[in-house]
Amino acid sequence: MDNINLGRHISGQFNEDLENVINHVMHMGGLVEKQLSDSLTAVYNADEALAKNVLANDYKINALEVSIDDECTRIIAKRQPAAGDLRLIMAVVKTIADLERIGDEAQKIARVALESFSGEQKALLLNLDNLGRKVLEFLQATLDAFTRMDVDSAVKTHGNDEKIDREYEALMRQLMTYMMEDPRSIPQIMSVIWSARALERIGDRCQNICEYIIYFVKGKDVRHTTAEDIKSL
Amino acid sequence: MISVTPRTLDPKVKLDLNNLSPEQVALEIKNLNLYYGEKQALQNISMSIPKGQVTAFIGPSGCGKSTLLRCINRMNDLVDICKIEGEINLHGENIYGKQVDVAALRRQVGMVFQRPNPFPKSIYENVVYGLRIMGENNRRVLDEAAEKALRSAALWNEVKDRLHDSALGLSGGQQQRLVIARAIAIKPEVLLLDEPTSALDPISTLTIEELINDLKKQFTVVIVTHNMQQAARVSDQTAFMYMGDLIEYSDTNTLFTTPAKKKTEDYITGRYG
Repeated sequence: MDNINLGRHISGQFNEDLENVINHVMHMGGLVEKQLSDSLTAVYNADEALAKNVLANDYKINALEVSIDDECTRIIAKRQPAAGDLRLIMAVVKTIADLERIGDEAQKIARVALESFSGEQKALLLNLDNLGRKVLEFLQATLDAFTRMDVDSAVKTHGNDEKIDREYEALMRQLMTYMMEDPRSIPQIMSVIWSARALERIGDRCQNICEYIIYFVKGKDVRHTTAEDIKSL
Repeated sequence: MISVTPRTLDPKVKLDLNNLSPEQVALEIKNLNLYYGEKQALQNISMSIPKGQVTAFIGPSGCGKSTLLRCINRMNDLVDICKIEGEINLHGENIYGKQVDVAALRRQVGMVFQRPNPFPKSIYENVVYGLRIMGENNRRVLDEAAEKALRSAALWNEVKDRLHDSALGLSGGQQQRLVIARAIAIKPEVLLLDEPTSALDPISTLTIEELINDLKKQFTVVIVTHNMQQAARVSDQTAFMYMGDLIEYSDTNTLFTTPAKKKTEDYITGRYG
């Protein structure tokens, strides 16, 4: 079952339908990745125009989610997929829901770029950017594992979330210290907190997508199990 | 079923088909080999068919699924060039044993074929045919048995006012249910269905599938079907056969979502192996 081959259906049309779905998910993944990367750059450079661009582009991701969902519904109705095909469709339906939410989180981050920060507070944004770059790499690795349907790298990537969580907690402690030192900075720091939170959530969603990849390839549903269980696969 | 226990990766406890207790087994097939002349059509088939459940055989044409089904009530005895080795045990007794009365065996193991084959008699006479042959002539007993069988076959309401009309006037789907009623009137233990819906329209097919689900409360059902979705819908266990080999035999939910063998995956997803 490990070498899943999408092609070779007797029905060429079915092959084509599945390939199209995969291509659309990859396209959607690319867009989401660009949105996250742009939102981080916008915050880092205080680039208001880029931030507005991110906010304006989210509709594309939403539209893709709806149309891929629709494609999957049609495939289920017309082809009654079984085994690997069925798991693929299920994995896709769930993956695009998570990708869409990652797009929403990217929007939240972009909103931070629209705030004005004092020189001192800019140091906070640097720390946020650090976390952001790590999350972006996590997303890239996840999308890469999805494209290749590579279960080993999905398992490996899945473990990244733990690092993200630790980094997030460290950043939180730092931000709380700032707030205690200078209560006037609370409004700005709050918006940094929201975007740190958004980044942390993106990490969780990448983790979900890795789980769907494992489900598709291995046929094992590893959601809500321990890290040891997943590594033992 | 919704599980409310903490999640682990351990497989859920299912009926372990390799380890059934004697009282769970309806039929036990052991090292069964079958040859049509020189050609070997079944190769060393071993499997246990659980009681009170629906077991489906699937596989491409010529894979041996119908042959295997026909072995279970010794229909292959009618083929001169057919040679069989191995055992099929019903109640721990080999049905290929020397002292076995084949007619008695076929009363225990009923069969329904692809095309409905009612006798050119009335609906009523079709249903009670087996009982009459067994020497039952009491009108009251026959009436009761006919009603019960027709109700079990989900046909009673449609034919109760014309029991003495010719069976040949029924639609294909009704005829197939009539044949099922005829098979179950003599209360067999096992009911073999050889592609029972392949000659029927989709609605009649669904009626029969619904009926199969009811029948398993009283009988052990073994069904051969070309329609994979049908196997997925009606069966508890599915056996996938390919070129005379039993490739994979497991519970239907597993087989259709996460088959263990590549050949099974290729077949049920419509790929050439």
